[in-house]
Amino acid sequence: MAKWGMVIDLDKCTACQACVVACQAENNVPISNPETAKAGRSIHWLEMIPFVDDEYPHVRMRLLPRPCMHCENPPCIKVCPVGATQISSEGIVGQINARCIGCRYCTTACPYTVKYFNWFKPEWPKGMERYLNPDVTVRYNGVVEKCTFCHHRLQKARDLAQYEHRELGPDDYIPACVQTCPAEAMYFGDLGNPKSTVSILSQSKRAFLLMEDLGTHPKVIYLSEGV
Amino acid sequence: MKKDILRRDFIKILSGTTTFGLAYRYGLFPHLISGPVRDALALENDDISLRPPEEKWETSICQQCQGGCGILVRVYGDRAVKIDGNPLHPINRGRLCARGQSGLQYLYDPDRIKGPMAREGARGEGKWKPISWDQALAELGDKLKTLRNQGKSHALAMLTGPQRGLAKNVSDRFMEAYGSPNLIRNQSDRPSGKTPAFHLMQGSDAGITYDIEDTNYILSFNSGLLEDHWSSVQLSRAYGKFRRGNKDERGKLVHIEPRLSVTGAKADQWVPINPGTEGVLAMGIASVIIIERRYDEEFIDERTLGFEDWTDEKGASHPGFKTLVIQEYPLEKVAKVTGVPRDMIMSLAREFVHHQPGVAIGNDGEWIGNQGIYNRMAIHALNGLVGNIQKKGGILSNARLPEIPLPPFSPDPVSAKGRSMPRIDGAGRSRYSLVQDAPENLAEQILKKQPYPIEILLIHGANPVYESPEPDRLVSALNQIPTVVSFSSSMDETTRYADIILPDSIYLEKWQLDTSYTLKGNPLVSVAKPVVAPTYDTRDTSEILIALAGVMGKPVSSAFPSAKSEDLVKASLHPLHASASGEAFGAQLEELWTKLLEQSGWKVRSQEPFDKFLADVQERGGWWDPVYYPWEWERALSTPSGKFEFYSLTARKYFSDLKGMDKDLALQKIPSPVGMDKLDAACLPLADPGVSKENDTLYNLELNPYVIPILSGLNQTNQPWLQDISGFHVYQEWHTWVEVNPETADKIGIQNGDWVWVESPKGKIKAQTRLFKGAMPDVINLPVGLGHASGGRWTTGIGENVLKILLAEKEPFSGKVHFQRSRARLTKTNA
Repeated sequence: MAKWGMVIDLDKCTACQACVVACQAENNVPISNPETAKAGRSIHWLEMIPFVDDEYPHVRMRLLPRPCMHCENPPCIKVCPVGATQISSEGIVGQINARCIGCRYCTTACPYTVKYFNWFKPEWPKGMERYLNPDVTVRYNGVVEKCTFCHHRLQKARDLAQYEHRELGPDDYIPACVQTCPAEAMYFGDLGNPKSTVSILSQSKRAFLLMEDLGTHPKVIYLSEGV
Repeated sequence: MKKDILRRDFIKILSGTTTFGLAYRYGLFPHLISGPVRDALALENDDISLRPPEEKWETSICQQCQGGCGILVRVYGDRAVKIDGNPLHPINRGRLCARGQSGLQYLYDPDRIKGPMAREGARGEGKWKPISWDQALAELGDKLKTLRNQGKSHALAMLTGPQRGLAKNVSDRFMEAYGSPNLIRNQSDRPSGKTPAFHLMQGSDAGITYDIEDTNYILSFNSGLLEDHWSSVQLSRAYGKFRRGNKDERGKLVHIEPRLSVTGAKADQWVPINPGTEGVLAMGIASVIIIERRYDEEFIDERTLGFEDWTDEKGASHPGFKTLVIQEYPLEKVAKVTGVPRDMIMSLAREFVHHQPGVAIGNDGEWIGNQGIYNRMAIHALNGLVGNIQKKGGILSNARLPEIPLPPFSPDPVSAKGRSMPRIDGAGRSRYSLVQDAPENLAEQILKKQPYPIEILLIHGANPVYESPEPDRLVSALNQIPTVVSFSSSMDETTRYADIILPDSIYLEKWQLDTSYTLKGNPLVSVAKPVVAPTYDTRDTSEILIALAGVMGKPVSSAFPSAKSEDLVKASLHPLHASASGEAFGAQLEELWTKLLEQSGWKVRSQEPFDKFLADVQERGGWWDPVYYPWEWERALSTPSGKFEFYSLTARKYFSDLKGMDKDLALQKIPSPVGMDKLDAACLPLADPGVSKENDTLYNLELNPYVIPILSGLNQTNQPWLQDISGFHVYQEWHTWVEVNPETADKIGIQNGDWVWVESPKGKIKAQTRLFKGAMPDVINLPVGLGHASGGRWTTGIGENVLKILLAEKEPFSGKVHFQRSRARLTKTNA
């Protein structure tokens, strides 16, 4: 059984935000506007987060691409009263939009703030709906949405492998963000397989997890900058 | 497990069928139906209209900036639904940046111009009526024909953005056949182009490139390395390898800039510096290298001119770089001007030499950030000092691009007469003898009607009204011209002042032939066919020009063998095929194989028939030459002396050829160091901080403008995906912000989020305060790229146009306008 996980090498990352836009294009994320942004209600399944530390002139700025951590022990699923957010046997934390009642307990429970509530009916001006991805359902207002590790791609890849009578290969399934990353700083694969690239990288001495002390066991692993 | 998943999918599909089936049939929210559900519906109902449409990935070329990345577009039926990188394309190898991803919002922009339009009411009033293509072309064609018949073909001018490949060839040919010298191209100053500083010192006209991938050390002088470099994807890929490639040493990056930018944040060391003084710092570093004799003596002896004082063939002696550095840039002075401590300058110099091969990179930005020619020369001189020219991990000059011309034709006497007239912008003559285009002079020359009035102006891919330091003056210049035609696909600031709009299709809708270079100096030619039909009633500008030539009839029309871009693309590829060099894009393994064969003497010669070549090139996305010979010195150093010139002979010839007032004007702003002839000084890297940081009580702050990386290079910014993440580092989007150091804010009495007037001697704009510890005390940072007056719902009125309050200066040699930093003050106001 695969345990899907991601490694992000911050030493290679250039904070260009290609992953951010690739994710929005792939997953039919509602587009923002000045009012939505001002209210803090823009939706970014994957967001570039700045951390500014220390004082001038020794100030440091760290820039972290933050998708859903797909925790092995996700706080969000424990608070959902209707079982709308669940972890799959392969470790992907998913959101069943049709079951969501919009209580937003999970958006509060998630320490990484990766869950987004649809405050508005998603709308695309006439003509713009043409670019919507036919593989991904558009969400409606009143439900929560989140990063799915592009699991529709997993379904497609698995169908294709089955059709071609072969096992799912290591490169058959990668999320849109990893595919586009210009610096080749993002890796994706099976953390359960000790020989996979992500497993090997996760053993690096540069590896760290976000808010590890909370016991969430994230499956997104960062590699720190520097030697 | 597989069965589980399938069962779950099946249940999901069943539960969806009844609810969604009905809704779908009645055309309600069709995009709510996801792939699997739609497939199931089609199976269940056996309804052909419900079957999923054909799906394919088509190759194309991204044109969101000038990077030239190859893309694959997922086409679902007749719509484009995703853009990703073309894995075979040598520039980006399957990767793509945010702007590239956002191409879908450019294509399906609801505010695009939807068909040809003619002006109603006064210029700039914004009243338009739709007209048909036939009518528009006939009317404009007639005007063009009349003008030509009157013997005034030179009174046609065409202003374009940076153009390459087919678009360039067709515009060139159109103006040549019509008979006008006035094709004014807003050429880019990027390394892959004729950059003045490199032209003066190395001569290499095909441009130079930095071998980021294999370098050990990057000394970045406010270079926008990770933010504003073309192609950003290629640069990022190389940067990833620079940091964590297979080299023994992890590459080190030191970034020098007044503000803590993304490049500064990612660097191992950020060195804050007083705005505009990077060139002076470079000279300080040079002085340490020279005094401690750490330079590459062998390279300096064999391949440079003007390091030591030297004597020309007439026996006259001239000062060298060394003399200039020692005399004019003592460390104390450099430390004082730049604000960088003496010890740090010394350690930077030693590190730079120690970690060779390393590169010193300056800023070649378009209008913001460009450091000006002398500062660029000072920074590039460091590369000469350590002799990293034409070395792996150093500076490489681009190999020559192959010819991809249109089939030949012979212009008629009318054309020859028109072409012999002087250019309206003055490029190629006297003060502008070193440049091919001088668009900055256009407004002035049109207003003065010098050397003659312009009757018809065609504008394509340029938006000078937004970028001009004097937009009002430019608008009055436009108003002097009887006919102004815009080919823009969006209602940008300049298009508002047009009489006729003939909207261009965007890149995903047309045939393309494009040229660019890899960061290793390999030339490449990308080819693309349309991936979707035009979304609106628009046409490819190349085809519009050919159609206009058609309306005019012979002899102009005979310049084009076909009216279709498709035929011209194919015809242009014949010489490339015949040259039997290079190959179609391939996987990296194939590339290694070609290199191995060629380097061991087995030159691969293409012997395949043209059709096969064409099919290959089209399918893979283009052609390139993967083999690069670093020892081709005559191309890398094509200066008059054939050497790396610390003392530029090109500059000397330029100044010597000038006469009278022109000479005085050109030399006017160049400072003359003590005991040095002014002409000598003007040929050396005389780094100069420009406006000095005076004690100004009225304007107590220094204003440092910078380009918003995510919007850099775009044709239009009406793309909400990009607007929404423009200022992520200070949590601000959709409005202009000003970055202020917390201490400085305290002093002025403003807080985070406060609205302020940012006021310079030239004007004021409103911005929201963002306290940012990465801002230097007393230096405020303003983002450039917002504040469009028109162009669509996600760009019109979003933020302020910072250019309005910046001082602009014309650079010697090129006449290019560079926006300067300025003095400024902040005053609190209401939102």
